[in-house]
Amino acid sequence: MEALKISMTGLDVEWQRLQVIAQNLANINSTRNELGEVYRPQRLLSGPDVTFSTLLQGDKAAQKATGVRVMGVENTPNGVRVAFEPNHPHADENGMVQYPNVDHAAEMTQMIKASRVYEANLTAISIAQQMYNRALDMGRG
Amino acid sequence: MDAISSVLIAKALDGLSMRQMFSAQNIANANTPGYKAIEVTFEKSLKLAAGKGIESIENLRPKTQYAQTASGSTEMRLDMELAKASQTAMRYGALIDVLGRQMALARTVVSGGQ
Repeated sequence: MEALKISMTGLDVEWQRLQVIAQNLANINSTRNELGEVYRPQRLLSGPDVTFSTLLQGDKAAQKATGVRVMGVENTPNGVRVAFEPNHPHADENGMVQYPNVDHAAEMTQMIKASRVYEANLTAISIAQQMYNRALDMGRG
Repeated sequence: MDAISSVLIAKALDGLSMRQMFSAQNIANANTPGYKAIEVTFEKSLKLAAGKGIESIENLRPKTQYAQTASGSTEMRLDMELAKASQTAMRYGALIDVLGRQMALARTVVSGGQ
């Protein structure tokens, strides 16, 4: 794959990561989702885009430039915290309410990291573009 | 004009554009846990091949391997990768310049210096 396309896969993955983080932060107080359960914080998993056939080639296959892809979005472990709020409409018989256990500071850290990597991919794109532009100049002057 | 130099420049351009590709790959995987950065090497072998003639230059393939930092770790550094990418672009531009100058020389020869 060429450099521009690879950087574009990077942009795509980081964009989706930001969406998942935004979703977690937006639902920080969601005690019920559409299924009637408490919202669970999620984490986007990503890795190099390696197909099964290249995976069979072993270590050499890991050294191919194929970009990055989303492996999936998973619920984080310990995703629920309970609070004693007997007057809450979603409280159970003991007066406990289930809240999503969103780690606010960790989400913000992840968000900054994702946006930095997003910027890095943009820079890589502009550097690749410079190279292409120079190649187009060839033989002109 | 030396026939070997344009072949040499073309090969170096190939190597540099491949290095650029892997820089993009490393940067795209900056958020992949445990990802090992990959580097492209061709300069040393190109230098060796240049001593042997055009054919061995043409048969040369750039090599990919896991990059190691000075401290011996294979963990990737985003700043270093970006610096390397911009360095690669700079070298690429310089080589294009040299190639352009060669072509200008050839143009002068063809036009008889007019």
